[in-house]
Amino acid sequence: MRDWTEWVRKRLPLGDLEAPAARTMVEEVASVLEQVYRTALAAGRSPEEADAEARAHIEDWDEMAAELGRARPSRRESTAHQAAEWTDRRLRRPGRPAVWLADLLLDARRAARSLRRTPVFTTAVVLLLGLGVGANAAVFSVLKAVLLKPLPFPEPEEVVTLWSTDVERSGRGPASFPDYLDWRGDNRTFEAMGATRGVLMSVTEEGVPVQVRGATATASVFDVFGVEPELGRRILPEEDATDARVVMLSHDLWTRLFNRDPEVLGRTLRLSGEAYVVVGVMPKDFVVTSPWDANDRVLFWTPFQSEVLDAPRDSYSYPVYARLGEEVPLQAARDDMERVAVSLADAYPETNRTQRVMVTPLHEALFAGAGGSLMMVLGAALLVLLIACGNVAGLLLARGTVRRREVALRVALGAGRGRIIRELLTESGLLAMAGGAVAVVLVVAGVGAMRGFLPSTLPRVAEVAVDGSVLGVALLLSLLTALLFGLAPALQAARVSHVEALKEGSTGSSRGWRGRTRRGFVVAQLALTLILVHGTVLLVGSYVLLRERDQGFDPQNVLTASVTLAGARYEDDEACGAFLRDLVARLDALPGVRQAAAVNRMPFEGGTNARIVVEGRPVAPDPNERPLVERKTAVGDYLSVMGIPLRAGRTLEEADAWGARGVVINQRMADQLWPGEDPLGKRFSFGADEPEWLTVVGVATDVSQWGPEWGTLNEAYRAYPLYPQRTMYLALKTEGPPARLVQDVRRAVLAMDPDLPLTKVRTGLEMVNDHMDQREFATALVSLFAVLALALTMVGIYGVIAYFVAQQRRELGVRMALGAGRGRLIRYVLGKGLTLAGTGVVVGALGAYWATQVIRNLLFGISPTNVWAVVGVVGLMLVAATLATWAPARRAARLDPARALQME
Amino acid sequence: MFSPELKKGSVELLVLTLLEEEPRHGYQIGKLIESRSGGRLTFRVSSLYPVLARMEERGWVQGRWVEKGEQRLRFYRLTTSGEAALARQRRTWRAFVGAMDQVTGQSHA
Repeated sequence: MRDWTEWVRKRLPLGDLEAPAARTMVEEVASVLEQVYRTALAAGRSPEEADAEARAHIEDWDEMAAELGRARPSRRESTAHQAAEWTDRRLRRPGRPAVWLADLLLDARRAARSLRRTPVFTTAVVLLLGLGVGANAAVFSVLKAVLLKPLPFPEPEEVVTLWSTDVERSGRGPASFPDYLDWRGDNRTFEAMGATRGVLMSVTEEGVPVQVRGATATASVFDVFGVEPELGRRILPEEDATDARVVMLSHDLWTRLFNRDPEVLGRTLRLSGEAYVVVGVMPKDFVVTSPWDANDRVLFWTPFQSEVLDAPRDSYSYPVYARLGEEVPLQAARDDMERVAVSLADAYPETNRTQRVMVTPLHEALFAGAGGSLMMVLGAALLVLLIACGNVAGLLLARGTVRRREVALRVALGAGRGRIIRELLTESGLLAMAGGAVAVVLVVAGVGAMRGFLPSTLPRVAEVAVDGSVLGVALLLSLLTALLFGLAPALQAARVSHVEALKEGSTGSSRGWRGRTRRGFVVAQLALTLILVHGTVLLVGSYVLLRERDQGFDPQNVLTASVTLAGARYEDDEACGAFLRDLVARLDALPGVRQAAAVNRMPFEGGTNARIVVEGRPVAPDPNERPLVERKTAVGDYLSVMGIPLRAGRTLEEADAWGARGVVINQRMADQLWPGEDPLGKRFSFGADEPEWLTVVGVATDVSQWGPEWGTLNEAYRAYPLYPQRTMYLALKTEGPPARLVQDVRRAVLAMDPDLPLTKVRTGLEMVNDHMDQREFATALVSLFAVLALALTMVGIYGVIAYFVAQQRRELGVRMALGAGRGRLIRYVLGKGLTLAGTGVVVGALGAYWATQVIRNLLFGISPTNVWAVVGVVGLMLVAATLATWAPARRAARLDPARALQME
Repeated sequence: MFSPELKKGSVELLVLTLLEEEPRHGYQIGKLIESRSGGRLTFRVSSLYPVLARMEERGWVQGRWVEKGEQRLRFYRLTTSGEAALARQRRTWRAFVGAMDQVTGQSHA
């Protein structure tokens, strides 16, 4: 005889009712059917006929369920009803908005209850969303401060910088002053144009000399920025290129030196010993930085002195800012300046034949450098979010399968599909908000933690903070992802034919749309993870190679600091030379110092170059075709202090400043100019007209001028008197940890000049690290994201395979019953996992090829198509997939075939 | 024989009346309606049960499981409020039938 209770339960869709009521009804209907059956038997029918009669007794299950549902309002619906009434009363405004709100409230309550019933699912989704969104919001907070904040001027997008470029060389630089005057006079597209020149001056702050960055500026610079002073006035056009000693203070310097004294106008400020009259104070928000370093703020402005009018046309030292005329597109300005540059090339072929003008939006000029690595980190964070979303979508789909019957029943009971979709979306929305809340916690904690190791060289790094827009982004991202990944399962659930869903077994099937979609998600996750891990391997590889690269010098036990000799005392080159010689001697004598020296540029700090002529060779008539050489000037034995090995000859001596004028060149220059010859004794000159021959006395190992990632340029070290410079770096080789000597060095400098500030005090290792820290930061974050992605993907694979094993119990049982050994079953399940992994790896490898093109510029010493990186990453992915598949495979192998076959 | 609307409107009164005599189970109620009406009124489980469920929800009847031999049957009995409901429905029914008779011109002896 049939088990009527089970039979009825399968057919009567009562999911919406509370369990005890539904059970009673099922049992009651079953008891009736049984009586129909018995009565039929008693009336002499065959068991088959009786069974058929009983089964025919109920014609329309769905109608009956609907009727029962109406007869016994479920608790859920009565609560819903109350909620709707409550909302209506609250709003006292019957009509659409109230209904809409009531429905929303209702859906939210229903969703919350439904989510509470599945705590594991809910927690998993909320954590996944929180993690993915949190990572993105944290990166966004950095990106926002560094890149997205507008510059503090009105219409900042109209402000551009104008650079001089040489069409025959890459790179760009400031303008020459005569060029600036012609640009300004001849252009037709700019509303205002101004030139500046950075200056470092010392001021006395609380009795201690400190160096501050300022700028000499034309009056028109303030037309470009469009900002009026908070106090007093701006530099006047009639003060341009005169010897007016007036100064405008930044809000910052006004605060530091004058404690925001409103009576500051007319007072005197001593800049490197000279008296300037304060004429204005700029507002607090007006922050202008050096065009080279967006963290180096300009603290004061003074007019150019008259001597600027004598500046030669090939002395490129004047950053130029300009404001585009109204409605003038950038391209029009570029075309205009091209015209101006060409006419200057005609007028001054000697200096301007190859000179052109590069017009760059100021924002881009300041921040584009940091953009690359930050965008890459954001890209990695987005990949993590996508991968986490893959897991969320997988979970939602699996849940959708389980809830198919519930949804079908509710559709059968008359719930509109729109309403069901809305309810499921409300559920996604709730998940999103919870995920967003977790993300916010992670962001606040993450940004706090990140501040500790944010690279100090990142522009505007001090402004990184969690604010409303960051939180907004977090919530928006959560909502977007939840809706995006909730929509597909919701639509699918509502589209389902309820008849089919109710007929099907209660477990659903892993074949069909859901199974395919879930597997599709996992393949996508695998592919994205492979892209991310591959990129990470390349970045970490680049970092390690850079770290291990021989930079040509030894940064251990080195202390460096910078001094700028400004003011009346240092007007004379010889005075500067004597001062530096004495200072180096004094430092040399400090206990703990092995050796001291001074140089104009430390490694990685860039350089200044000039063209040379070589003795005995024809001089190229076009100066642009003469060899270019970086100029270094040294006091003391700089090469030994920095541990730069000599390849040939000897190091510089004091006597090299006179007589034969000895010079040490680098290996590259020796190889380029005298290949296969002995460079020692060869002569060259930086000027062509009246050559002052320098004699090569030594060849030093190459040291990169522009940073650890860059190649080396030709370089020549001269004794200080031959190339005197005002800004010099002190370099000390110490016995022990160099940081201990900072105070001693400071005292030694002050003892010689109480007004001379010491800046950029760093150890050799810090100096190297400063050039690595943006890369280190980006690499560390991307690695962290890659590890996260890998873990998430393993969870994803595990989920799909575990689900597969659960779904295929019967089939696995049959295989086992037919004699398949455990090993064979394990292989079968592992095979399923590895098929997924294989597909993902192939897709990912193609994606990785594309992605490495994007990060190509950030790689060092490792090719984006490095075979070992690809093989290693593919291997890693397959191992990860195997690990994730292993547990479900073991579970499959431990199945009891008898029980597996009984199920269903 | 009778339209479903007509049957639907009267099924509560029929069930209540049958339960007034003694507690009965659902199948019995269906069979009794069928036999007492001379086969002219039949209710399938699918329409009878929701009525029982509704009346139980309202508190007019009370269901209880009874073991009978190897079978479990759910018996319903009338509650006090069910009795009141029955009295109300009878009055309404009589008034309705009376009104119908008056209009259609027939009368009971």
